[in-house]
Amino acid sequence: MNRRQIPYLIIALLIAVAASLMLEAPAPVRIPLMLCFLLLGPGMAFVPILQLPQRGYELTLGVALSLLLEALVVTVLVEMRVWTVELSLEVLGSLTLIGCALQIYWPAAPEEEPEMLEADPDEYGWSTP
Amino acid sequence: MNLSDLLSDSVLRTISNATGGLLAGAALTMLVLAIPIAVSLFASYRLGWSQPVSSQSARFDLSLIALPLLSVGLWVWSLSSIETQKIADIGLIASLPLLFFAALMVLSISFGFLMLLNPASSWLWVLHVGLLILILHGTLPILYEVPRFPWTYKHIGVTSYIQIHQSINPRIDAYHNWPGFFALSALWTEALGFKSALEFAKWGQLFFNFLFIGPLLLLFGALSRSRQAIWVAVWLFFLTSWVSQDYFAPQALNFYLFVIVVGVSLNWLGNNPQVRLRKARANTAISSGSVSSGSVSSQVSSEATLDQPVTAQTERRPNPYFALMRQAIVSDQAGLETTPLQRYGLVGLLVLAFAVIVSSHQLTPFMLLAGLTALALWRRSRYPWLIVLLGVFVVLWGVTFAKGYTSGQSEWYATLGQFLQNLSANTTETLEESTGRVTASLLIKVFVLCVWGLAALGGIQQMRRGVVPLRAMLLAVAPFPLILLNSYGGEMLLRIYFFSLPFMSILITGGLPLHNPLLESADQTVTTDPSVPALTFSRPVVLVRRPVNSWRIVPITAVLSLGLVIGFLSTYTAKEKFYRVPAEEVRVMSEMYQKAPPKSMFILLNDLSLPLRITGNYEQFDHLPWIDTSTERDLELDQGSLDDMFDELLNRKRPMAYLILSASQRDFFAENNILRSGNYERFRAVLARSKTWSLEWRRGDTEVYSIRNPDFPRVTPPNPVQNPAENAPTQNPTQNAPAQQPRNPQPQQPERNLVGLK
Repeated sequence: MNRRQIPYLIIALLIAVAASLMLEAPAPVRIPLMLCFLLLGPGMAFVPILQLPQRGYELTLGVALSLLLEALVVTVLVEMRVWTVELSLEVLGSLTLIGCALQIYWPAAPEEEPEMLEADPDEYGWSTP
Repeated sequence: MNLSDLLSDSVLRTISNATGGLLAGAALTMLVLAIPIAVSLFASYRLGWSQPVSSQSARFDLSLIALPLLSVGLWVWSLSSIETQKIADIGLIASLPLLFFAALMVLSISFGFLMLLNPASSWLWVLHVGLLILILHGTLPILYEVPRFPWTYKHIGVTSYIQIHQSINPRIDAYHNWPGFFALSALWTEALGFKSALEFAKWGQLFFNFLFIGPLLLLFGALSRSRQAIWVAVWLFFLTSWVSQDYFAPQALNFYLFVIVVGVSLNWLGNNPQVRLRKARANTAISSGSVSSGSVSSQVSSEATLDQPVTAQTERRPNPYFALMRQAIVSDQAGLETTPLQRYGLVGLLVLAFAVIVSSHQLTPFMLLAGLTALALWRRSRYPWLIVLLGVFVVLWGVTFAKGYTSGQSEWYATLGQFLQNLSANTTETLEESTGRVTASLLIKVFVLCVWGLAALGGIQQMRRGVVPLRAMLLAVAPFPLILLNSYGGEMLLRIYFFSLPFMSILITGGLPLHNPLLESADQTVTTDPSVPALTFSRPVVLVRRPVNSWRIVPITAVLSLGLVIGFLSTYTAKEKFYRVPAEEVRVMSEMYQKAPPKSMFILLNDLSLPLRITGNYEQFDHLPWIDTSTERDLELDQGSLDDMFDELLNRKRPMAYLILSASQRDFFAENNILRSGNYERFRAVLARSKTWSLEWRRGDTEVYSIRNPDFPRVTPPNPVQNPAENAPTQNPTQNAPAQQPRNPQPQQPERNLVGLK
C-alpha cells in the first residue's frame, strides 16, 4: 500500500462507518467498521503527514493518536456536560477529514525501504569469550 | 464442563450480546483480537519484516510452526480440565492441569529454538509472543463468565454513569476527577453498540496486552538494534508482567501511553550525544580538509567511539563515574534522524499524550515525570521543557478539574517523604493469612527480587562487555523514588514494578548469551580500551568471532522462560480466590442497584470482595462498610449487630437498608480470621429467623436482606425493570429466582438497562 493511498482509505472507512450508522446496518457489519475507525481513523489521518521512515512506526503511533484524540475529545465533551456518542463521532469524523485533507495536499516524500536492522553476524557477531 | 460449553458460555456469548448472534459474535471476537495483532505485525516492519531469509532458514521456520501448534492444542485441551471453583490458598496455579504447563513448556522450548535462527522471520516472533499472551491472559476470560477483580466493577459503573448522565460529578469519587479513561470507555461502549462495559470488560487484559506489543517494539527498538534482543525483551516483559495492571482500568491505558511517550522520546527526541559528537568531528575533519566528505562517516565513527576515551585516559586516570558516563555516551544508540516537521509533530503528539494521561490517572504523570527527568538530567532529552509542561499540566489539573478531590485529601500529603512508613505499607500484609497465602506472598516477593536481580545482572554483563545501557538503567530506576512520595494505598511498589518492567526486561535480555547481545551500541564498534577503570570493565574485551548463537541458548532460554512462567502463574493468580468474582454475585448486585430505592443504604460486611458500584446510578446509594477488616479480628456478629445496623439506618435517615451476604465475603472472613469460627453461618441463621429483616434476593450463596425505615412512607412498587442478568444461564433456575420483590422500589426508576447483562 502506497502512503498516498492512506487518506483515501481512511475517508472510505469514514464514509462506510457513516453509512452503516445512517442505514442502521446490522451489528456484524457496523461493529467491525466502527472498531477499525476507532482504532485507526483519527490517528492514521494525521500520522502519515510526519512521513516517518517505516509503516510500523506509522501504525503504532496512528493507533496511539486515535486513542489520544478520542480520549481528549470525549473528556472535553464530558467536562462540558454535552457528551453524546453522536457528537463525539461527529467531532472525530471532522478531525479525520481535516487530517486526510492535509495528507492529500501535503507533498509526500518517496517511501524508504524498511531498514535492515538485524546485524550481520560477520560484522557484529562478537562476544566475550 | 466440556470445551464447547466453555466457548459457547464465555467467548461467544459476551460478544454475541452486542451482535445478536453467535456467529457474528465469533467473527467480532476474532476481529477484536486480530487488530492488535495486526498492529504488532505491521510494527515489525521496523525490525526488518521484508528481510529475505535463506532457504535453509525458511525450512526451519516451517518446522517451528509445529511446536506452537502443539502448544495451542495442549492449551485448548487443558481448558476443560481447569477447575476455577477450587482455588487453593496458594492460588489458581494449584488447580491448573499439567497439560496447561505442558503447553507453556512447548512454547518456551519453541521460543528457545528461535534463537538459533539468524534471522528468524518476524511472523515467528509475533506468533510466539501472541500465543504467549493468548495463553496467559486469555485463559481466565474464557473460563470466567464475568470480569476478574471486584474493583473492575467500579470502573464499569463510572463508565455507565457517563453513558447515562453524559457528564461526570467530581464530588462523587476520585474516578470522576480523572475521567479520561472512563469517557473513552463510554464512547467505545456506545459506538460499538454495547449496553454496558460489563459485556466486554473481562477481555480487557487480553486486549491491552496485545495492544502493548507495538509500543514495546517501538521502545525496545530505541534501546537495541538487534531484532533478536528486541523480541526477547518483549517475550520477557509478558512473562514477568504479573501485577495485573492491564485490566479494564485507567492504568492499563496510561501504561500504554507511557510506553508510547518514552518510546517516541528515545527514538526521535533524544539528545543523541554521539550523533552530535560525530557531526562535530565530521565538521572539523571536513573544514581542515583532512578527509573528503564521502569518507567522513566511517572515519568519524571510529574516532568518535574509540579515540576520545583513549585520549582522555592517556593523560590521567579518570574518575570512574565520568569514565562510565563517557562510555555511556559512546554506547548510546543513535536515534532516528528527524526533520523539523517530524519533530514538531511528535512533540505535539507528546503534548496530547500528556493531556490525556494527566486527565485520566493520578499516578502515571508522576511515573512519566520521573522517567523524563532522569533522561533530562543525564542529557538524553532534546526538549527538557516538556518535563516542565507535563508538571504544569499536573498542577493545572489538580487545582482546576480535580480540585474538589485533591483539596480534601490531606492524607496524600501526610505520607510525603515518609519512606519507611510508605515502604512498610507496601510490604506488610495487614490481614492475617493462611499458610498458603503466606507462601503466595513470599513467592511474589521472591519473583519480584528475581526479576530485579536478573536485570541488575544483565546490566553488569553489558558493562563487562564494554557497553553502558545508561538510558535503560535510568528508566528502570527512575520510578523507585516515588515510594518516598506516597504509599498509594500500599500499591506503590507494584506500580513501580510495572512501570520499570519494560526497562528491566531489556536489561535482562542484555545478560543472555545472544549472538548479538549488546544493547545500545549494537550499531557501533565495541571498545577494546584496556585502560577503562577496573571497577567498570574488569578486563579488556577480547573479541571472538561467533556468527550465530550456540545450541546452549536453547536450553538457557527455555529454562529461563519456564522459570518465569512458573513465577508468573504463581504471582498472577496468587490471590485468585479473591480476584475471581462469582457471576451470581454480579447478578444479585446489579439487581439490587436497579431495584433499590434511591438513597438506600447498602451495608457491606466488607467492601473488598464485592462487585460494588456496578451500575450508572451507584451514586444514589450510601455504601457502608460494616467491619474494618484492617483491625477487627475474631468478631462476633449477632442480633445486636442487626440492631446496630437498624439504628444506623435511622441515624442516616435512609429509606431502606440492604445487607449483602456472599460466598466471597464468607471466604474472606474465614481466611483472615475476622469472624469467629462458624459465626458467619450463625449470623446468616439469625438473619433468616429475623422478623424485621426480610430476604430480598438470593442466587446461590449470595443473599440480600433488607429492612425498611419506618419514618419513610411505603411506596407502591412499580413494574420492575427487567433485569437482563436473569437471562443468563444458571444451573438451577428455581433456586436463583428472587425471593421476593423489593418492598419499596423507586417509582421513577429509569427504564434504561443499567447493567447490560443479557
